[in-house]
Amino acid sequence: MTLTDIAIQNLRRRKGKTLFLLLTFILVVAISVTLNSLAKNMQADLQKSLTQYGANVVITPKSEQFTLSYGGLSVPGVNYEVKHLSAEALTQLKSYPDLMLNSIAPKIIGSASSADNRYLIIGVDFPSEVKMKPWWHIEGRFPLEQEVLIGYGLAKQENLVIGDTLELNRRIYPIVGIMQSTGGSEDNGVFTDFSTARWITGIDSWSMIELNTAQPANTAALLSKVLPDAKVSEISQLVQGTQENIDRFTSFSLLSSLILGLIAILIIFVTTTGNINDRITEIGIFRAIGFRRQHIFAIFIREILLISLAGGIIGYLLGILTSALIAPMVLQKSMSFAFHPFIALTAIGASVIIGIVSILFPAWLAINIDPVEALSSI
Amino acid sequence: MSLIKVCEVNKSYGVGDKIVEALSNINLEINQGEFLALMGPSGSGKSTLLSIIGGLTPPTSGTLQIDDIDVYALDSERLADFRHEYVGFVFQQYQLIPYLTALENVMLPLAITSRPGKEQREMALTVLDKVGLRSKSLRLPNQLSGGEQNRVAIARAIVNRPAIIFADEPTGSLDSKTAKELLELFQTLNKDGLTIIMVTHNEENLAWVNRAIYIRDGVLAQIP
Repeated sequence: MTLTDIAIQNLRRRKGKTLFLLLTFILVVAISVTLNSLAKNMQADLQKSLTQYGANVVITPKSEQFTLSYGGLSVPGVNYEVKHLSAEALTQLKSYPDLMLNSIAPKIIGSASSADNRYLIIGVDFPSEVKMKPWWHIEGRFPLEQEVLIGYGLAKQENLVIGDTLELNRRIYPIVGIMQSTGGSEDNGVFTDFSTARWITGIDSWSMIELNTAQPANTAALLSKVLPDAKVSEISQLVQGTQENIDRFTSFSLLSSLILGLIAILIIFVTTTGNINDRITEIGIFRAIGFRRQHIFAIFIREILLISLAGGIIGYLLGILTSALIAPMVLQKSMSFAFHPFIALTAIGASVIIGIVSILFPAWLAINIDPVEALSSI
Repeated sequence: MSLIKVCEVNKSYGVGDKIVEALSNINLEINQGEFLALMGPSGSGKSTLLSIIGGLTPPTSGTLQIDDIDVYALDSERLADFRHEYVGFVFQQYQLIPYLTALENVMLPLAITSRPGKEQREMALTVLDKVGLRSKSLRLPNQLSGGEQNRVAIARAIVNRPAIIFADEPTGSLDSKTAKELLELFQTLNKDGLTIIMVTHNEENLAWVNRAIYIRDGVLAQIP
């Protein structure tokens, strides 16, 4: 028989109160883990997008936009005075050494239709594009003139394979390659070279130029001089809004966890203080037979350690399960059962700390009980 | 040879604005191996004297020496160690821990020693055997009769081989047959060398003890 045995037997005997305390720990930890896992997943998702996005500066034609409102109804934004990125823009960019370009990938983006569908046409220079996006994996080969490569999603949707043909604006183009899924907009695109893209879409200027530069922060200012008709966006600017939202959610998660922790401390404190009153006689017996104060304190600490540890572990598992289940609703994407050691250790550690902080005062009351007062028979 | 020396012990309590003298000028010596009865009417101070001699309640003034140790000169933790080493209590209401089996209740004083679990178990089973409850060692207190609970309490009091057993009205809630069995058990333990101090107000119990002390209104009335 050890002090731990005494603690375990007491927890077993007081099933109702033990279960109540355990549920408190489980709920607090599970909710905190759910919120923080979602926040962490959002952060990781954003980071992944940033890493996957090989370009760090995107140049698009400048345009003006306004929103119509008619009879209280908003009409989607209308673009007007759309400028163009001329063919010379590329030459200008390449001849500007201060931009410190690693790679440059211009694109012609338009649409084409067949009898049944409309398609997104993307004209690219394949060697430049692959240099910027090394994660592109092609089944088949890159297209030559008057040939196309299609995204994985489009191939699956229309049941197309290499060797099939695609009708685009009343002309037939052979499919020579299929891009493996990237999870991005490429999955539904039709890729071809510039001359074919111009032929299909009728667009003669660049729709977008992606740059990978060593100095993305300075590029915007430099390009405003080189290309006055262009809108220059750093990827960091593009993700800034998303990042702010994620930061807000992260702060909310942490604050919620903190408040939940304080509520838990209060609940456990009240419950355990009540338990002490029920256990006065028992504490008196312990003292009478020679238990030191530290022995009684150790029993209380062991009891709360066992509950908080179990509550922390179960709460953590429940939290990651819940976050995986609700992620499709909250994030519009699935989330795997990822084990985050930091969240796991923090959750379980916080659970134990909450337990110990809550028990300190009740345990102090317990160890100072006068054994004679506790044992009314003496 | 005196094992216990009570010198000039006084105990008073504050009750509201009044001070109640529970014990006045108690002087007493108890020899090793005695089976002593502390007798007196309710409220006479016998339980207070028992708790003072047992190291549970410090006196207002005076000293208590057990085995030449000035008990109340010890700090509270050393006093707990002293109780653990020297004293075993048998309370009137048995005071067993309800969530522990009879065996675990008996093992309780051993839980704070460095003895391995197997040795603790053997020691506890030996004393349960001595009080005739080995076969019921795995029962919870509420599955035992009053007399059986009392014997578990005695087993718990003696498992650590203390020098003195303090029993507060141990036969108070027992029928006469069970009370007799209990007193026989005390007598056996006393013959094994244990000093036993028993609070009782039942004069029939005097037949079992070596000596009786009477307390009335906090004063020793008679030392035969």
